[in-house]
Amino acid sequence: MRSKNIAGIKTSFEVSEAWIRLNTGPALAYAKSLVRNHHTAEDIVQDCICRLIGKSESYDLAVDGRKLLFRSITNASINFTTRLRLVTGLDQEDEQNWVDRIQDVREDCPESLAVGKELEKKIEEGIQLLSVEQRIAIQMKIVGSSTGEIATMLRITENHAGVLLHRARQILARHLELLEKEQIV
Amino acid sequence: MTLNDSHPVDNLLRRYLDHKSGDEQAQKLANRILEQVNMKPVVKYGQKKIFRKAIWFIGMAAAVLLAFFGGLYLSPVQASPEAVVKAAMFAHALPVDRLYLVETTLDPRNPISRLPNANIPRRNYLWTRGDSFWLEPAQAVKNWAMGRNESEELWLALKSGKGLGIRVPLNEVPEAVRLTADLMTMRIETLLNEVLADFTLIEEKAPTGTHLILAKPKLNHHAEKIRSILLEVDSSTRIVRKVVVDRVQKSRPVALVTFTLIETSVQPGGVYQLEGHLNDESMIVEGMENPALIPILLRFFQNKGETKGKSL
Repeated sequence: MRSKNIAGIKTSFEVSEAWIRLNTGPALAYAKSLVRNHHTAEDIVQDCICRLIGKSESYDLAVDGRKLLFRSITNASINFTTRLRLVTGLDQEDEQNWVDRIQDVREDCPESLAVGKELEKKIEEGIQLLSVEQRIAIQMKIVGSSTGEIATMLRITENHAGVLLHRARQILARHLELLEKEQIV
Repeated sequence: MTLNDSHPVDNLLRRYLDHKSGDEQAQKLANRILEQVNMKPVVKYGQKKIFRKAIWFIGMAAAVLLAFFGGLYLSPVQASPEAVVKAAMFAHALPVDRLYLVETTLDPRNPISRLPNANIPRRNYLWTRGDSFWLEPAQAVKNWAMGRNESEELWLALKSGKGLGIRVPLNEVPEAVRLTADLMTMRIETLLNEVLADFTLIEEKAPTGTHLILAKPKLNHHAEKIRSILLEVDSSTRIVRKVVVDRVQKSRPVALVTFTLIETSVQPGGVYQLEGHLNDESMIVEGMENPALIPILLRFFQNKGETKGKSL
């Protein structure tokens, strides 16, 4: 069996396949939250994962893979949305379609039972309340990026990245009604 | 400003993204990506099988990745019994289904063992996923099934005729039913948690590749129900391969219950629910709304309990 070195441990290609299967869903959800279009998100995710796998000799897929994937999705999505801004007026319609598609996906997904459909819906609604920069900041943070890395990616100061993150958390917490329960300051 | 990683919102969002791994559309995209990178030819499966295979892979991948990140790889020589149990808890927290053969053998000192045919070991199959489980007889005619779902409800499916299902919140289940259900089943996460917290752990001699841990209760409330638990844990995967529970009731011997791992796979989510074991024509009654049905539940479990020597 062909094998490659991941995280210093020789693993089979099945682990790489598993890595792809494990990360495609989160990456797709992340890309959708940025570009608001299912097909574009799929294209971006497919392209980014293929490029990442193509260069997997130069880093540890298991350790850094998800962070690198999210970073490259961020860049690709920023490129896409920057270009998309030239075509104004389609955005709103597209967003509505995106919401509908998300709901369909959720209804078909047995895994959503584990999280709770209501909570999942709330989280998706909450993400939509955030600005694109806030979405990037909070989602990059949870895949392990530091505030400095987020700042570099968004070409802003580290303090600004911290503020984005803080506000994103506050907005989400407020939306998820966690403020009172968890006493988030 | 709160910037630490333990923010509750971060955890929720992380879980939300992780759960997207199981999304069917995402798995279709993953198949396309795998074809494009030529990593492995994508075998044409039915949708259900693709999804099940994907979930299995996700479970395996999660195990591998979490083992890397968590630093939980313990060499068989160095691992203390507590570390082995902790690692087993970690391994069993993954959303993977495990099938155990449950064999109940009455203790010879149990008066019930003197009854005709009482000494024949009773066999059932127990599927577990985390703290959820469902149980069915190992015999060819599988005319009943019972289980516990994620909503902390105990259910019983009687399959003869059109089928009847009874579902009762655990906190409303009569004590006798709960005791019998406890005897016949195993909630692996809870068991490991309790073993770690309330039992004295002793590492026994075991063949290479296996940890054998004998757990004896420190506290009286456990000692009233369990004399000891023997755990056989796989050294590399940290999966509990065998559990032998020496059951007592108020310090009187009851039975030796052995759970032997025979299969690891992915079951459809519905099997841990009552509806997954009945057909469209079956009647389902909720114990809360129909307290009159509680005696049926009680009779069924008392019958099972007697054959297993619980009703001392």
